Amino acid sequence: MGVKISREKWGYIFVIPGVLWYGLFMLYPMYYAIILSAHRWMGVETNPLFVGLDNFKEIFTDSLFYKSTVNTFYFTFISVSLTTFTALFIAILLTKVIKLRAIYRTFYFLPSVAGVVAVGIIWTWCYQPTFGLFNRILQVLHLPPSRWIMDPRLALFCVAITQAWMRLGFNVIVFLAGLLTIPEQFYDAAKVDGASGFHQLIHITLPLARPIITFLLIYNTIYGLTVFGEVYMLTEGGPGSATYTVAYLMYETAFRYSRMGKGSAMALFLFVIILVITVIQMKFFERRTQIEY
Amino acid sequence: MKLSQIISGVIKVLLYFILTVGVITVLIPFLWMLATAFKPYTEMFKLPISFLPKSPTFQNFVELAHTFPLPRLFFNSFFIAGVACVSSVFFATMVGYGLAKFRSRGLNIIFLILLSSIMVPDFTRVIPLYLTMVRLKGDNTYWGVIIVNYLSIFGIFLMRQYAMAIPEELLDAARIDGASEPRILMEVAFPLLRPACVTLLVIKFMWVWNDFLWPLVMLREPKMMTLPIALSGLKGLQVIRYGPLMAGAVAIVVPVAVLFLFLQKYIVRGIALTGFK
Repeated sequence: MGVKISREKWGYIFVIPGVLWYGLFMLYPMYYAIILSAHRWMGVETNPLFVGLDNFKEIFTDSLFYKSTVNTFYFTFISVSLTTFTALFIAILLTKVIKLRAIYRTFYFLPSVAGVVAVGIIWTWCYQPTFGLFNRILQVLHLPPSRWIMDPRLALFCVAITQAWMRLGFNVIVFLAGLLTIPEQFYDAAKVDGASGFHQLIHITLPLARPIITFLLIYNTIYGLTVFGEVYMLTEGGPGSATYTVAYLMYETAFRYSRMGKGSAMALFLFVIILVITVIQMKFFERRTQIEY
Repeated sequence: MKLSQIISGVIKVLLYFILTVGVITVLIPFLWMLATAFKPYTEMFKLPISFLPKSPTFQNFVELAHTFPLPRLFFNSFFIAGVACVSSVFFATMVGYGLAKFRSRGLNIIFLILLSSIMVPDFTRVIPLYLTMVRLKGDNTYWGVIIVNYLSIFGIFLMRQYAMAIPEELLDAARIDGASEPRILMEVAFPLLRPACVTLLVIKFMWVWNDFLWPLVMLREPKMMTLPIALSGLKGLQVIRYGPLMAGAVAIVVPVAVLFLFLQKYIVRGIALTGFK
């Protein structure tokens, strides 16, 4: 060994690939996105033109962008509540089951493995109005058929269900892992005091699971706000503009109409929204937790 | 005493009933996919609905193979996911180990900064990254898709969590023997982190295999596309042929589903470990 490198320095050397990744694929693109958002640019062959805040002015007066923003919030609310609370419910049930727990968990997780393209293909077929699975089931039950993703009032809800279906398993695994770390003694003590199962749920399980609930709510919210693949595969924003979301509109703006600057402005807008909502969620749940203990 | 036994018995039955109904609901779209993929065209629209094809056929898969260069698409998917996995495991182990075992103020700050990027979703970066790649002639290439995935924050975080559990005495013993730090990483830490590497390998593989937005904007030519990206284009055709489409979904799902079924204990541990804490 020629030059002796101190131990602490080795720590920094090992971390270099991480710092490099962060700089190249995180910091630099963010910086570049901000620059882009102040330019009008129709793709690589043309020259960018500095337009200041015009892109933002344009998107904030665009009715489709407004619609997409409202849709995104509605979608996120449905998808996140469905995913999180169904998963919590299933995970709580699974803590009571010992023998078949692993098998149930496997099955619940399977949709998360499939990926958004396969899921989109499968659900398009299920929602298909004439021969799709769901309408055939309704037919068997002698119920009137629905147009599902072709119905402007229902389409966004259908897309949210699809996302919830896909995300459920991941949520179940995280909840279950968390719930199983709650020490058994807590429950034993509660039983001695004569607390019912419901009381144990309210006073032990849920308060102690709050950090996981917070984490998953935040995580699922980010996931919901950035929904793109599900929309692309199921509805492409339609019918009309019923299922346009900000991320989908951004994709269309940048990659179908080559409006790179306008697309970047949308991306930054959504990023800020995510940041604000995440901070609010963190603050809200932190305070509640402090009161609890 | 007897009554409470009956009640707890009823609750047990109810529990299994709800969970089973839930599982069936979750699995129905999959079963429908399998049923449709193996049904001949004439059977697809028949009533009453049947999840078992009466005369199972591979016709849909044959048709799919006529429409797409399937071997090439599989190769693209495996190659891109494979390279990204190996590189990601290598670098994530290095960085995660460095963050876990060389504690100093600077490294802690670096860790927090790296962690903060979890809040930055992919699509905020996709336009600038795409434009950069076009300039570097990286669009529509394998390396262009792979390079962004050479490392992930999730991977670093996962490996750090596992690396923290390595006993300090083992490392010190190697140091006393005069081993250099890179050798300790490769010969002491790395073997101990093998289960973590498997976890990361599987999760990363599933992630890149199913990745959508980035390869969608990067890969234009069908012969460069990953399997899901190519099949996502099937939808846009004039007449939607659901049979081959479902065969395509089966082709996407089966490799990852098999991987998951065999290695699920690693995945579950990985998710449970990084999901919170």
